Amino acid sequence: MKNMKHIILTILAFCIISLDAQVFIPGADSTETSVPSDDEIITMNTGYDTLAFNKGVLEILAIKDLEQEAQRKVDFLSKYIGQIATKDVEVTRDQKRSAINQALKLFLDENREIQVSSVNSDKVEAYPVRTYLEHLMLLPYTSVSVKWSNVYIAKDLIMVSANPLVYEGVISVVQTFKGCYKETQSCYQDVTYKNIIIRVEAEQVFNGENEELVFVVKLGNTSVTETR
Amino acid sequence: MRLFLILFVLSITHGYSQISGIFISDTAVFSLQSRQLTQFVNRFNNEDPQFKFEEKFVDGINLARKKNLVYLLNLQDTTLVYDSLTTQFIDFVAKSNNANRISYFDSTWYAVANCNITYNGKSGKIALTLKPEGNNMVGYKWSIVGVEPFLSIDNIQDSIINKLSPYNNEVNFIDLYHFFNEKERQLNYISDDFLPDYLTLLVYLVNAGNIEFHGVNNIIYYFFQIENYYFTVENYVRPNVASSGWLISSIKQMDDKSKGYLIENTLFTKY
Repeated sequence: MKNMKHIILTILAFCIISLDAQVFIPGADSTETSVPSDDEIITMNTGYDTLAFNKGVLEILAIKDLEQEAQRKVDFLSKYIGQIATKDVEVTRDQKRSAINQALKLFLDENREIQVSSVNSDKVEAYPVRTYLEHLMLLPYTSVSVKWSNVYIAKDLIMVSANPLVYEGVISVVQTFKGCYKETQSCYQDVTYKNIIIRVEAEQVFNGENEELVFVVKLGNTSVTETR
Repeated sequence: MRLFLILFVLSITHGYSQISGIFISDTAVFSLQSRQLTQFVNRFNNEDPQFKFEEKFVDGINLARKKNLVYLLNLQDTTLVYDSLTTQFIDFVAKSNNANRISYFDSTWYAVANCNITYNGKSGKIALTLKPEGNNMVGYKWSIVGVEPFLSIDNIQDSIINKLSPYNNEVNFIDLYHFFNEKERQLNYISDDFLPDYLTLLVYLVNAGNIEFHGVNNIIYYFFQIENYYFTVENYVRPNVASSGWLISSIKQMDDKSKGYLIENTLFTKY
């Protein structure tokens, strides 16, 4: 009987692996559609930071809208990072500076920390977001490509504070980084799995006629969960 | 049987392995991995919309939930997979008549964060026990509730002189001088029943600048919500392996009394 249970457990485990055909791949087809073009990014105003709702109770909020907004923020950050790191001569230093400032607006504040890792070291270091972005701009490669994909958003927002009303969630992303040197034709490449905190903050705004509750989605600290 | 298990474990070691005629892509592996503890909790509760299997009940056991639970085991730990207790636990949790849910808002789960520190310039480690606190009126947060004893408080008991003698009160406790001036013999002047509060000590040492924090090395979660069981969850970093991320690392059978003892003696906090 005991062995029988083991067999059943193992067969079950074996069978599960074939279930991947049914698995929904989060963000697999949505990351590209909501991201503006590179040209738009440079001049884009992040005024679309807010989601407005008529009633101020999170339980009745359209969580899906918040998820989409969080995903948009991550998509924007991904595009900005691409702009900041690129070695394309057509992207000027001023445009890169502008992209850094736009990227910073996606975060709660400049004190948020981004963890950085490398396949060549076990060490994980954390930098304030501005320092991280400026380091990206100064990478010594002749060509750099940074791509983010596979966004997974935690559905369960947890209340951090009642007054002001603040909720928190987390997003998982995969970053693929590739930096190459033209002279030696050698490249460094890594794939980093990151978790990013998202904050949903409620703000009362006057819409011209009356006060309404607006929810602002911002990015927080970012950790590295795996590098390869 | 063992060969079968080995085949299974081997089959999940590469992102593009062919299993039963199906190739698993990196993207699918990412989906299978439990990257966030929140994902783990949702899958444990059979509430992850990405892992919705056809509901089927056999002997009161929800097979869909059972599938989710098996996938949350550290499948590379054959001792855990082979243990009959694991099967019992999974069957118990997956029983349709048991309300075996876990939630962030429960009061009976803990995180132990193993931190890298320097103490007086020397590198070391310190294990902090944390617990979610709060309510819907004020919001939620993680709070430090305990710390593993991180200093050995040794004492030298080599002399009858180094203590407060019975009539010391008659001389105005004159020997208290030694308590304040002889560090190595300090405990001679303190009750034998004295138990240091290491969390208070930690707060003091951090404020005095004696301890510096250098990041969290790893986290172990302890879940005590399931009746007569507790289990731990750890993060396994395995590139291209589906059995990766936050997974069950151990399962133990335990009554409430023993859970209380464990919490007080292993997590160093009150039950």
